[in-house]
Amino acid sequence: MGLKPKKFLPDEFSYKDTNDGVSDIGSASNLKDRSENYYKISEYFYRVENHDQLNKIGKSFEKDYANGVKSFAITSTEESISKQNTILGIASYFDHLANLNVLIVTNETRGPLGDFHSQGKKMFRKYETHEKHEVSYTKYHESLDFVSFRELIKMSQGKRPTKDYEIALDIFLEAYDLIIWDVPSVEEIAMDKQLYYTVSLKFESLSVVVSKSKATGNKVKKIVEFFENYGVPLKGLIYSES
Amino acid sequence: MKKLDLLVSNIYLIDFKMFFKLFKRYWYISLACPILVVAFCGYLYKSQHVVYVSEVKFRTSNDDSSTQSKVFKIIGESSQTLDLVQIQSIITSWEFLPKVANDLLNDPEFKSFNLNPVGTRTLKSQEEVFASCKGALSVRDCKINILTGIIPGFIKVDEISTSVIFGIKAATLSLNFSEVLLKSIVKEFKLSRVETAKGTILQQRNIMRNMLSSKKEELAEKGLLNFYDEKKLQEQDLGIIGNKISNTKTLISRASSQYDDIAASISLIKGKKTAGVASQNRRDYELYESLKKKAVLVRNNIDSLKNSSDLSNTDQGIIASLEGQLRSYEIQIKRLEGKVRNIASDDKFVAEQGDKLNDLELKKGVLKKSIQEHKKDLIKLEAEREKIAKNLAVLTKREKDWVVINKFINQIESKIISLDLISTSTLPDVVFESINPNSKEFKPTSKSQIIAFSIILSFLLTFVVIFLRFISDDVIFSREELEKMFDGIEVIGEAPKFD
Repeated sequence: MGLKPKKFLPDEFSYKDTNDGVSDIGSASNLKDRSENYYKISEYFYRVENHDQLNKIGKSFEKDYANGVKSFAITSTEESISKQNTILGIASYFDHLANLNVLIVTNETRGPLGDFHSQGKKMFRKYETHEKHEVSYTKYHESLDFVSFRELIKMSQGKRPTKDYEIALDIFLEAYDLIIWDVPSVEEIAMDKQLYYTVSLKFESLSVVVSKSKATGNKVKKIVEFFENYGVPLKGLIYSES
Repeated sequence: MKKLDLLVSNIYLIDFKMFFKLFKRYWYISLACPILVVAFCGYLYKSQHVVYVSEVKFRTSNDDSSTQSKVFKIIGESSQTLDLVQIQSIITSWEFLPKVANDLLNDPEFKSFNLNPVGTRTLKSQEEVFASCKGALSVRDCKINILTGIIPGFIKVDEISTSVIFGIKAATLSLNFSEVLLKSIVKEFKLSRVETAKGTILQQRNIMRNMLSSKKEELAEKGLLNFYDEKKLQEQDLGIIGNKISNTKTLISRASSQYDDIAASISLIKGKKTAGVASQNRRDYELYESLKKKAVLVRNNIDSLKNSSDLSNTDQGIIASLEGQLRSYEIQIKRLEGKVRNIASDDKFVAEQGDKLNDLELKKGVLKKSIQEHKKDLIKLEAEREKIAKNLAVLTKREKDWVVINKFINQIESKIISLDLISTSTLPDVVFESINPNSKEFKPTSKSQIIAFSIILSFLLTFVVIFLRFISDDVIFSREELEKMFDGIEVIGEAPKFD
């Protein structure tokens, strides 16, 4: 199955890299050469205990990816390590599968993603649309880029989202082959709906991690309904034992 | 409903494996329910009062020893023995119970009786039991009514051997009450059976009498009510007429015979008179008399010749000639002797009876008249006999009807007499054994029953509570539950775990 990354951006809005010495090239085509640290994240693929399940999930995501989906939103019924593991698992699966430039959008400061985020190399990307934009992100061993929702929302510069903001967001995301969204809780999104709305438009698929003994049916329904209202197609549910 | 699907098994209907998981999941319920049930059952057991049971056995009899059996035998039906349902209905009837209640009230120890139901937890005093009788017109009747209502709760009838041996148990909360109650039940039950037997006799007697009246009416309708007397009378009359006819015939016969004799005599006399001179017999008779006279003369001559001393030859020749003549006369006389004897007697008879002829003629006339009268009587008697015989024939034709009905009447009368005889000594159709003096003591619900009940209740209660908890619980506990609850949404897999 050949991977076919989808382009978010219309052709007339090709991004312009400022290339001021601190930014990274966000194009997938520029990420062919990898250092020995490149496979660092891929090691996680082998550290999975329930490899069969990772493989199953990975195959499902791979199939979607092959069908042109490159932006996967992962949320959960409650904040738990399972969601981070799932994101990390999917990322490691794709990393193991192919040389992809993967972006993980997360607000986590703790847990595996939080650790990666904090341990990674801080980077900035500056570019212009109608306005100047500077996005701070973290690069982890050349395999994964991490950026927070706050950083992406900050691109709206405290204003209401505009078309320019949306384009700027697209330009930033266009640099990646695969984007995995660590979606905050519905309650958190509901607190700042206007800003999250623009971001959520970029979700091409939603998966909900359901934790055993913690999640309730109502909670799952609520999440599904919430994102259905945003027009985000539901991919499925991921069951978590922990 | 989606959650319910989780509890359904295709094989066993209920998914016991799932339930086992639920027992573990809701462990606090699995623990609390049995504890609560055990505590509750323990309380139930402890709060029970001791029950005292007195018991007596009895058997029903359908042999000739019971009046009831005799009655049924007389009426020609198979006797019916009491069955359990009948015994129970008698003992719990509103005719029976007030009598028992009355006996209890008459018992000197009545005030010590515990009248509370055996299963009660809170005991009431007798004053409380009879509280509603205060101000009643008849306190005693009121108490009897109350006791009548509660006594059935103390009694139990069991069938020990099918339709033969039964047992009555009296279970109360006081020992003496159980015994007194049972004794009273036994006494009243026997009396009840005697009364029933008497009632049966009375009833059957009335039925028989009605049948008897009915049959007699039937006889009257058919005109056969006095058939027997009538027939007997006719038969007697027929017999008398027969005798009369026979006698008359005898008289006629005798009179006819006399008449014939007299007529013969008259004819004889008359015949002898007119036998006639011209008759040969008469002539022979006269010849016979002549010869006899001649023979006498010849014999005299011979004797006189023989008496002379000197008989010459001539004389002797004369004598021989005379003797020859005499022999000739004697031969003729002998020859005529048979013929002329009747003439001689007739002449004698005519001479003797000649005077009676007139009397005979008179007698003959009388007899003739008598015979004629007898013959008239005979005709009348025979006509009468024919009439009676016809009547008797008609009666005989109807005799069959009479015999059938009369036989039935005789049978009924016989049965009525038998029933009257039985009613003089009425015996019950039940035989009671002596009351077991060793009353049993126990709690209404035994320890083993309580334990079994608590086990079952624990299981059921836990089962139900867990079921309800599961149905109302929205938390997702397994992937299977998740798949069932969101069967339209794909469950992609399980979240990866890292070491």
